[in-house]
Amino acid sequence: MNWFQNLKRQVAAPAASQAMLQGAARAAAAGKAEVRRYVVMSRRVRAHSEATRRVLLGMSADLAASHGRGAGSVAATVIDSVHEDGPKLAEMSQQAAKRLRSEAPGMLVVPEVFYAPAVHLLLPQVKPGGPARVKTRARKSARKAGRRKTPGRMTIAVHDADGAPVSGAGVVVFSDLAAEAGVDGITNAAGKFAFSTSGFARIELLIVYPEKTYWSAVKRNVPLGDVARVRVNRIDLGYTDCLRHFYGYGADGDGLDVRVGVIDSGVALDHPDLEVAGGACTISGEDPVSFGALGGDHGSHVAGIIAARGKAPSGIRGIASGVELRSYRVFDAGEGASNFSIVRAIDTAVEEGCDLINMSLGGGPRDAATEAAIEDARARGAVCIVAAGNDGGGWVSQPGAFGLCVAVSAAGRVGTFPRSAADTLDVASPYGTDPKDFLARFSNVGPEIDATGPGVGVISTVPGGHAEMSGTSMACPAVTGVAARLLSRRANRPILEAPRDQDRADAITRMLLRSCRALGLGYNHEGNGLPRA
Amino acid sequence: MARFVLRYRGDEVETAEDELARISGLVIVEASGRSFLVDADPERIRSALGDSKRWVASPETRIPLPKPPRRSAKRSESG
Repeated sequence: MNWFQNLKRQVAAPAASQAMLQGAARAAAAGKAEVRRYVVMSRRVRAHSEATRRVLLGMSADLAASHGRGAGSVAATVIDSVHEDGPKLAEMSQQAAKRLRSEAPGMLVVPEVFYAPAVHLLLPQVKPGGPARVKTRARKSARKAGRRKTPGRMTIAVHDADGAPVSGAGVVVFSDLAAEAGVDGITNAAGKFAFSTSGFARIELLIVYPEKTYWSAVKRNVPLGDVARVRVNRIDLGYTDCLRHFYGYGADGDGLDVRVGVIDSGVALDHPDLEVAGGACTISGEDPVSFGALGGDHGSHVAGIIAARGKAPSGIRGIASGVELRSYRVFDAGEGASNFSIVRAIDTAVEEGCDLINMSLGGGPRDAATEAAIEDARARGAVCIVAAGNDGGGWVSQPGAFGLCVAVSAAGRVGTFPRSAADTLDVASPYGTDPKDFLARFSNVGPEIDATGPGVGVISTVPGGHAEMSGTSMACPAVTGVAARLLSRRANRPILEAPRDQDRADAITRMLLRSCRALGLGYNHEGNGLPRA
Repeated sequence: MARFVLRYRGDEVETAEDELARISGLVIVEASGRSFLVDADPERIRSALGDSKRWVASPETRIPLPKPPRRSAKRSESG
């Protein structure tokens, strides 16, 4: 397939993915395992890694024997084959496809789809997260609320337990949550945010998001008046958030000798809990060594989840504090990242010997160049772990949807954040076998999900302190951290020390996915489940 | 003219830049290993490299800065 065919495929893919999910949902509703046709192949058309070659040859042998069943230990019916060790068309359940992918991670296992020329290019794009909200609904609701309005101004005063004002906190005031009608802003130096109550009949929901140091806070049905006071609670760095609930604090040697690259907004170089061994800035025209937190707090939070090496009560520890952490900055303050910067960051991370590459980023159309860089990284023994995106039940973002990376959704657990925190708004079905576990309301889903990670109310490092954040951006480094922790264990040393080729990358992926235990959220939501270490 | 990211998938990486330099109307803005940021007419890239298995091309795109999945209202005011 040449690059132009790839471009056309980019346009057609969302529609195919939507149809596939709808099919899966129908099957789930009917209470039966859906069997569909999948294309099973090596990325190089002809198998070139031993694991994929073994599976493909086995499938050919089954086809030749006329019974057509089997893909290694996975139940499948082989329908057609291109070469003995080439692509196969096979029928299997979604569960079997998932298992096959974890058994031979270098292989593509993709649903068979059918393309119509040109017509797909004219179809309206499906917005991630479902159909766009009809704007008139919000306007009508706002107008309706406006008829009941009590004109005037109101102040939200945010303070901590000692009564000290909290400045720089985001405040969101909803008059009608369903219509997203309301107002938002930031507290000033006195910890206050004032707004016009024009259009407000009441405050249905009030949310405060402090910049750092404190938990978020939420209040419902706040009466209109001159002032509403909101107290925010200081984050105790010894608190058992969802990350520590599932993975504890870890030992000093966790992640030792594993090199992890974080492709993000840069990492705080002077944070006492973080030790950044090196990295690069790959943004065109910027200083190549400016890989500090110049693009915002996000990268530092992500890095801390993997590699923070502090201790409560003054510091915090990540999942694999022994890793060698490297920062590759692709985001500028307020700017998006060019796919060229991302491609260059992946290449640089591989050049510099990273074993795992964390990419808590995504969005936009399929991108052949980024996919090629991820594939080349795999061919050189490195695995990219990518966030699924936060479109609230939308399809997995690019590049997470690409088959050769590990795509991560976000899960949460009731009881790992204060009841007064805004994280309570992210609790939603599906719930797990243990009803305290849930899929985060914001998480993207789809058949491309490989694993899930804790991503609701995660405490980690930010420049100048610590903060809680939620997102698949947080779940992704949790999975990266577990992969590093596993890779540093004595039993997995042969993988870590193996030649840097695709077999090594496959072995790392297999090790990670085999460690997963399902929470009971469903395959499209959690893939193989939550990695354990 | 539009900006594209080209990535070389072939085995002779050292000759990739020369191959691009021979395409008239294509300007290499930046080169990094197998990857090139170029300015060119889309049709020109299609005719020169569209059938080649040694190259993939993508329009240069921007991924937005990741934001926490926080609720927001439709109107903003300064504090």
